[in-house]
Amino acid sequence: MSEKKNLKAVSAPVKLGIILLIIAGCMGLLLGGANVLTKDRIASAKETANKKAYAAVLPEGASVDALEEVQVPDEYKDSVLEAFRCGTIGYCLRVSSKGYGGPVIIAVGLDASGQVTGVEIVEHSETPGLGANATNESFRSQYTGKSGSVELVKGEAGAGQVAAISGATITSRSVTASVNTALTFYENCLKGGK
Amino acid sequence: MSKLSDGLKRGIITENPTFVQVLGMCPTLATTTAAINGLGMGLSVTVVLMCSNLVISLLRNVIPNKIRIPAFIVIIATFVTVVDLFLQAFFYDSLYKSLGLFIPLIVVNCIILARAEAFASKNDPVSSLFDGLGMGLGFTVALTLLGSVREILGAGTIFGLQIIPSAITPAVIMIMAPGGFIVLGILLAVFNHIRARKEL
Repeated sequence: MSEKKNLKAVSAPVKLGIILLIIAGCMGLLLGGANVLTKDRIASAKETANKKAYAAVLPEGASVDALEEVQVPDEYKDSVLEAFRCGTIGYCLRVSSKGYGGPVIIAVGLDASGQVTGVEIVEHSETPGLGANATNESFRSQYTGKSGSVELVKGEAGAGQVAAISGATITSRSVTASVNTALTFYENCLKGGK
Repeated sequence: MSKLSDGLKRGIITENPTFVQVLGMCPTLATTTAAINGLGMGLSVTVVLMCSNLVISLLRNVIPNKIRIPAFIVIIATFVTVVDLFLQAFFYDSLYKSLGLFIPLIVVNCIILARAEAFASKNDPVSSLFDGLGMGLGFTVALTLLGSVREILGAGTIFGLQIIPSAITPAVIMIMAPGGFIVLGILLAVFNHIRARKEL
């Protein structure tokens, strides 16, 4: 009698566990199915988004279809996600740095002499109305034509300087840091067709 | 038919999840910075809610009482991930970029667990499905309304269309966190005032 009771006490949790396992297993199958259905589309959507950004930042005459990947050395791996050479015309890079609400990933285009030809924000989670204003043309275009290094200032920007967005210093800093990373990366790894 | 209208009326008016039950405030305040974000979030929740309500109602006699919460969470998390994948695949550029962060958080949105626990686990699949639809639409209406008001005041636009001349500087505070609380409070008061008058 008591043995039977013991057996029941032991088997009840096992039974619960099995039921949960079956439910989780079925849900796993469903997830697998959804993944198979969407995998290719997600990859192509991301690629289209990146390509669109590269097309916008590359120097004139460069084509996104003629990009040649450049190896990123380990010391830049944390910030430079991808780097491409476009013949002898220029380069484009995807650079990440920490913003206010998470990583801010930008695409930077450079011409053969190391001048910035454009900056696009690829991915960010900054505050709408403040940090998200970094995606505005008026802020991004300030970087165009800069080379060497860029300094962020509050108020009027002089030569080699970029005016921060008021109320979004951290985001402005992040974008500037990424552009500077791209410029030093050019200096050390890309210049002269290295 | 009455199951459908029952579910809709309960979800949108008498038991509106945002204005009456005041559930799921985190996504409500965080995502309603623009009308389109509110609409996107609301519709995502609606899809998850309908799917999870249907499945949980179908399994209500199979799931033992002791493990119902983990079972519900597994089911809800699955549908959230499915919605997340489909949003990434089909709305990557438009919606996913602004909402992406909040989609996984639907798992812990208490509206969904509350409907599973309070309704779907006790009712037949058809009324559970309609309950999910009603609650989801109620949430969507509330979020879109909140998002529209905040977008108009905070950015001068609605669904991205400029309606207040850009010469007038918008009140940026409305699309930041404090604006969310202020607008939510006012809308809650208005909604409940109307409801109270109707009942009298």
